[in-house]
Amino acid sequence: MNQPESTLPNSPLARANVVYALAWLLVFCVSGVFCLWQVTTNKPFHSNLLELLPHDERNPALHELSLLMASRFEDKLLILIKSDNPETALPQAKDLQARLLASERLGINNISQTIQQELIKLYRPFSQQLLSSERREWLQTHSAEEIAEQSYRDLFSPVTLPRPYGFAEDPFNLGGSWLTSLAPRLKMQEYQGFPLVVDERNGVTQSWLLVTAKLNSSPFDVSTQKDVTGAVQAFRKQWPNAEILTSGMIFHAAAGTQQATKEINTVGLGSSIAIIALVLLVFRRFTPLVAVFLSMTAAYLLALTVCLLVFGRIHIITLAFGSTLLGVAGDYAIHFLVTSHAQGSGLAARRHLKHAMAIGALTGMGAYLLQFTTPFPGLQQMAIFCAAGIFGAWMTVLALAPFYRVNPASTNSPILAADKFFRIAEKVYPTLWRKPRWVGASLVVITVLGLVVIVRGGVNDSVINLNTSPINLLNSERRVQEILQQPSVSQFFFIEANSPEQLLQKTQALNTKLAALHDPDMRWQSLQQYVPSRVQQEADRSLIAQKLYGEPGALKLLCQKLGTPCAAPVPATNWLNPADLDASSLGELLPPMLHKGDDWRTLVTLSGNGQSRNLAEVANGLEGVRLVNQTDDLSQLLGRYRSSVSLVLLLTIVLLAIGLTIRYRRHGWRMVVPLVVAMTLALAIAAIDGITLFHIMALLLIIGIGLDTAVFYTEGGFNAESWLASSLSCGTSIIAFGLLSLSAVPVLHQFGLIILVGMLSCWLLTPLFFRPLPELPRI
Amino acid sequence: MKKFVMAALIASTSLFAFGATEPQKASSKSESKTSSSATTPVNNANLLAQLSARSKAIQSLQGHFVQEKHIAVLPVPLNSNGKFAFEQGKGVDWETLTPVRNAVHLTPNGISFEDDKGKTQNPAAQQAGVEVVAKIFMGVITGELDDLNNYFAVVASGSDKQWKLLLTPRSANLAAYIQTIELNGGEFTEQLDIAETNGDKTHIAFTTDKVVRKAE
Repeated sequence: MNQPESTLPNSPLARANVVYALAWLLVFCVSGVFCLWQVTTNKPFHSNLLELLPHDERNPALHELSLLMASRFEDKLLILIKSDNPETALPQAKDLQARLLASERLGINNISQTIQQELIKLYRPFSQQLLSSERREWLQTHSAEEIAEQSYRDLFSPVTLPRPYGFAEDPFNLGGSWLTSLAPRLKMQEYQGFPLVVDERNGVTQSWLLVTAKLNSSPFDVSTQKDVTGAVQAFRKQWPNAEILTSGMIFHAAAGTQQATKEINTVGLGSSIAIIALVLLVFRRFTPLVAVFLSMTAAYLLALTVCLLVFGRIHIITLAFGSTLLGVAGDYAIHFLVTSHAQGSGLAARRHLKHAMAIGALTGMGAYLLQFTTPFPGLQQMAIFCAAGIFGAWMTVLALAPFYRVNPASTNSPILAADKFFRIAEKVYPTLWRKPRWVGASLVVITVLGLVVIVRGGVNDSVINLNTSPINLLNSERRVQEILQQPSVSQFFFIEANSPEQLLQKTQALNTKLAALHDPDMRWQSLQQYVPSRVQQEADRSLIAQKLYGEPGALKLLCQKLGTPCAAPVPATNWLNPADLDASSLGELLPPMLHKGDDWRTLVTLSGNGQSRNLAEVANGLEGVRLVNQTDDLSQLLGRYRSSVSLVLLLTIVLLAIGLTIRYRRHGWRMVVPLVVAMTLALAIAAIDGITLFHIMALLLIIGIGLDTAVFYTEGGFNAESWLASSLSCGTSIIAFGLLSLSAVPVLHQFGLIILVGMLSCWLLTPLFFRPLPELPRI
Repeated sequence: MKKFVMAALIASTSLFAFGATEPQKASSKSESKTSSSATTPVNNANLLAQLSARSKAIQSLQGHFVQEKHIAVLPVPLNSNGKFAFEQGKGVDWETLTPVRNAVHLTPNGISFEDDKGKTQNPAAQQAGVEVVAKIFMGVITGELDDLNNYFAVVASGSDKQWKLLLTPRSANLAAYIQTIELNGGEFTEQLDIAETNGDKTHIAFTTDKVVRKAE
């Protein structure tokens, strides 16, 4: 585009233009360097979908606790290796573990390997006041003689409870029975250092070896994802017959990244090919192609720079959505190029398009910036990204326009192309212009039909829309969760109290109600299973003191049998309380707990198949206890934001209508009506599966691109150049984003579909409203 | 009581507690194939393989034992004795005769107890946990090194005429209960020493009364 030696009838470049161009070049280079630096050093791209969601407005303690739950799912990975024969599975497990641990970003998940020692240490001072319910019942229903006799026999038996504490501390091994009662009912054994899980389901018994690792960084860290997927892939290659099941956020995050990267590449490639083909076809030269790409690159770099400055990190989905920006950025360049060839010079074209570009860019930016007012971090990112990008494209065209000179020899080719192409439009539109009533009625009918479909289609706020994981990954996850009976992250009880004692008593009450369901599939984990309430500890301590160490207690009788004098252990002076758990490193394996001042909160987590029953009823009548269903909550959240983005959309249209009416008076409606009809049609197509938040978000982009088309028609009239420019810019967007509608990721599919239908409608419908009034009888 | 012992067994099924019981067990080694290695010391792997092959060649074995249990704080050891029997593929019977009568029957399908009051069968739900206990216990008694190897690192020393096996737990969770298990023997296992992490120590001396070898 920069052809200083060309001999064109243009005035020498004004000094202001040069300064302006240099300033643009400076910003362009600085942005480029900044982005390059950020991308290489900070790795600002991530794929955590939760970060796109608004910060929860619910109870902050609940939010924190559920994040704690989620973090347990995030910071480790679990892989089960099918083990029909442990001997063949063992080398596989060793190999897989070695491959995983070869990465410095993964560590040994060693908590479960030392848990027994941790537990022994934690409960040591309190062993004479903690009773499992079975042990308590045994003490209550047996005489001191019977207890002494049984304990005496156990001392000789080869198969008894493990004794964590010695005879002096705990002569009746209460500690052993307490620790046993904590053990989950999972059939897990050990095979040469690897946990061996035996899963019995529907009469089929299957063994699995468990390989685990701890993540040293976030599962959304792309390098960690590469290490893990690389290790698993190499393992599969090495052991093609091994059957493995995976679980952990890292696998989903990696799948999300892979999917999003693929989609971005598809869109990017599709977009590029479409633009190259169209531009070359029309202009038959490379300079316009450079101009188009330069404006797109500048737009993208500026968008990225501003976004990084504002947010620090960018979600990959923002980038994918942001790639629709390429279409908008291309608009200005295409309109400019077509006009340049018609007007004979870039400078003239700039003068000619000055208003259209300003109005298009400012309204477009306004429409995007309205998204910024929603409390949705994802939307805010996209708003900033797109607004900055449009600004960048606009400024690029303004800055570089004077340097674009049209070679007289080639001036005619695009115009010829435009003329040829215009002839098609000339055949169609005038026919339609002559029947305004017929056209109007058809549009009304189509719009009404669209509205009917939209109303009947209803809305779809399912959380599935946020899913980026392939189905086999989800199935694998589900099976691991079942086999290992992992606590559910999506459903649990939330308990609030004003003191630790109250917290434990409330949990105890819930525990009793859950136990009363007598559902063998129902499994839960609660704090009070690990720390009985003080009331319980007091009762158990006095039961023990009376039955075992009293006069005549079981200890005295036992020692008579042993023929040795012995003393009762010294009882603890204090009580085990929840805060003791904080101090131990066991926290991660227990139900999460949170306390700030006098506010104590905990969760009772659920696992197993009993979750399907109506558990909300269980919490009824228990003050400070309620069932939390995160899936439902998230779904409702999506619904709320769908409503609020819809409001923003309506507001945008109303503001646009007002603004355009002020600027164009009676003609303002010509710009708004095709946009509204196109949006209705797009939404109607999408409404078949229910309208989601992401459909509505895509409509905001339709406004941006569709409005440009209308503005250029309004400013320049419907003619060969504007028709060609509009067709080019809509065409490139349609081809590029039509590809998004094929995406397997629900979000991207929904987005693409709206763009596809919306743009197509905008492109074809808008000219209906721009009948060239003065030279009407042109046929 | 049954419930109580049951609980003991469930302990080992737990996610974490692979630790089993305080095993007071006998281990009977089978006969040597005498001819080959004589008294020359052999290396660890060879010796283990030899001992393992020996125990596999035994069809059944009977004997009696004397157990001495030292409980950390008690001034006197607890002495007991009884008899045991092992049959390949069927399991182990372990019976304490004095000072109390207690019997444990271990089979590949499970474990049952018997005392003065009668028999107990384990509920099916707990079978998997019982298996772990049974595997360690039977492994020590029968010299089934393959099974023991899952739970312990096994170091052999001596010769096949006079050998020693030192078992140390592979996992920290098992180590929370058992420090080491030591087996000494010649043709058969003669001594078993268990050191528990809580300080208790058990010493069992075996006498083999009757051996039936597999027909080859």
